[in-house]
Amino acid sequence: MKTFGVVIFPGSNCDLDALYSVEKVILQKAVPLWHKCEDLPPLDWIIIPGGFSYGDYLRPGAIASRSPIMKSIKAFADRGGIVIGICNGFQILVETNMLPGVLLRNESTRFISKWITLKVENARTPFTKLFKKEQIINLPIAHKDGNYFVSYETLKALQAKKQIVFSYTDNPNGSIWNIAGLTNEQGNVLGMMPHPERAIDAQLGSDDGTTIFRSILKYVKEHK
Amino acid sequence: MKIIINVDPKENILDPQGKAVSHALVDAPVETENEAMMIATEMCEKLLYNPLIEKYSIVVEL
Repeated sequence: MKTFGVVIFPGSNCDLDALYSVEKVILQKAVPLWHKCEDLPPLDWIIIPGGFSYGDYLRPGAIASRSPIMKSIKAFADRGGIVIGICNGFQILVETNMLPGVLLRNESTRFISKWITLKVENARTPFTKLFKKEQIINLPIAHKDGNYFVSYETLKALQAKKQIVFSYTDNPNGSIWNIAGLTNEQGNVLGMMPHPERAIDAQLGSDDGTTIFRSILKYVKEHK
Repeated sequence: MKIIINVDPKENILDPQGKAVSHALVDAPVETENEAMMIATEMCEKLLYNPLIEKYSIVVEL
């Protein structure tokens, strides 16, 4: 049995879905982690879930990125720990500089909540090893600030190092190069705007999210 | 010509964004303009602006 931490900030709202995905779908232990927690319990993997931490004030993820738990999460990632930031979690990871770039307001300036299709650009990451390269998958998005932006030089580096993991087949928000999800250079930190924790049952639309969680579980089991 | 208009909440009116942001900053006493400038710069660099997409300027009022 592996142990997964789910971080909760004031304003997180996908934390229960993430806890449910770990406990009921991939049948592992899930531990909620309050944002003031500085000493993390032993964990195999950390999820930073979606929501509107601190009301998205200043910039989405900006205030959460300065909270006590993020120092510990950064140290966890620096030791090679697996971290996945979903939606607001992705915004927090870029504000913490654990991932490059920034998430701007959607090009339409509107909140978008719908199912979209993604292409798996890199199937050799801890998060995607159970997919095939260029596989098309279905996940929902629900965000107003998902328009990924990064400098041209950094984009070239992301492409060269195969850090872009998911791309939109039909770009909903204006993201540069259709980027929907990417990893850090080491490959152990993933940020993505679509919600895998909302795609865990084929009868409710798709279970492609489960494959992401199962991939991480497989990776964690193989590397302990 | 450029005019600058400041619209602020009245005293005692709840300002959720201001409250959330000030909570993430440190309240430090300062005595000189230089000190104020240094602290304001640090606040900008550490939290208030994102260098990828924003720039900032600081005005110290005595």
